[in-house]
Amino acid sequence: MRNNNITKRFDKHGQVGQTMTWIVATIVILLILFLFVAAVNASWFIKQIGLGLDIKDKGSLIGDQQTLFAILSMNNGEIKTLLEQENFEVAEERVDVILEDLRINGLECLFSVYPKYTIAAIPKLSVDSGYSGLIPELSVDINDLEVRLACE
Amino acid sequence: MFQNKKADERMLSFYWMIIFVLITIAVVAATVMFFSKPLDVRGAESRLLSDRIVSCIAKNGEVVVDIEGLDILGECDINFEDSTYNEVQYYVEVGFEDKKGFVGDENFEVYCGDLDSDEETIPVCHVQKMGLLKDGEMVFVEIKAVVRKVEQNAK
Repeated sequence: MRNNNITKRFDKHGQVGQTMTWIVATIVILLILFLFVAAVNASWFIKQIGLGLDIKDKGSLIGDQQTLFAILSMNNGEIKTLLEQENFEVAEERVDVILEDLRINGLECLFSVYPKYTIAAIPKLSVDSGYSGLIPELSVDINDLEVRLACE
Repeated sequence: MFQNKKADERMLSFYWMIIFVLITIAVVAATVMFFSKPLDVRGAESRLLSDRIVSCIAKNGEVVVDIEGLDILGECDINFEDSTYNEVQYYVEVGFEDKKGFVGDENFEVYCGDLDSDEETIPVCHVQKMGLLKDGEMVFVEIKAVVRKVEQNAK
């Protein structure tokens, strides 16, 4: 008789525990569903995964590319020749003048020269006219050097 | 005891059915919500347009066209016609020193300023500045490309 009472009490405890588990599981499922729908509905989510099309604020690689070619070709390729000779001091002076001229016109640039494939290394030459972005993506190889430019 | 177990299973099946229906509704609702939102591609379109102009006026950093009297549509092989709209939805300007050549609706130029308004309801502008060589001298060129198409892209 006493054993029966104990078994019933344990059964009841077990049922309450099981019911609570189901209730909590249901709440968790509903919460996940709510968050899923809310996230999809939120405009920031659409912008985050906007298929990579929200690019209007970034600079232009094609424009930067043409500017870099122009800098390297100026005065019959003077800067290109200086870089080939690894005469970085004179090259820096020349690039500084050009970038200052572009800055006056509203184009702030970062011109840097790295040893090839070592973008994490300290640049051999770096001229900045107020560019505040990341390390330039665009590069042109000159011998064992990578010449990089980014403008904004 | 046997009958109780059957009742439990029926209750559980009912519960699973409700959860299944809820999940289905949520997935369908989220999919409909996601795909019913307009995806604004005007930023990309204006950037592509200005990139096209750059490719057309410059090669290897040098200006290769007569930039002062530039026929933008003809030289760059661009067509602004759009059967969805009666009026031109674009504006392209090539600025060089104090001169500028443009094509499209000139009223859109104001949208290339620092406007602090809801970007989805106004035309989108992409400004591209660069230094190019002209007769051996570095010149500053600015290209503005504006795409209107507000009706198709705004909510």
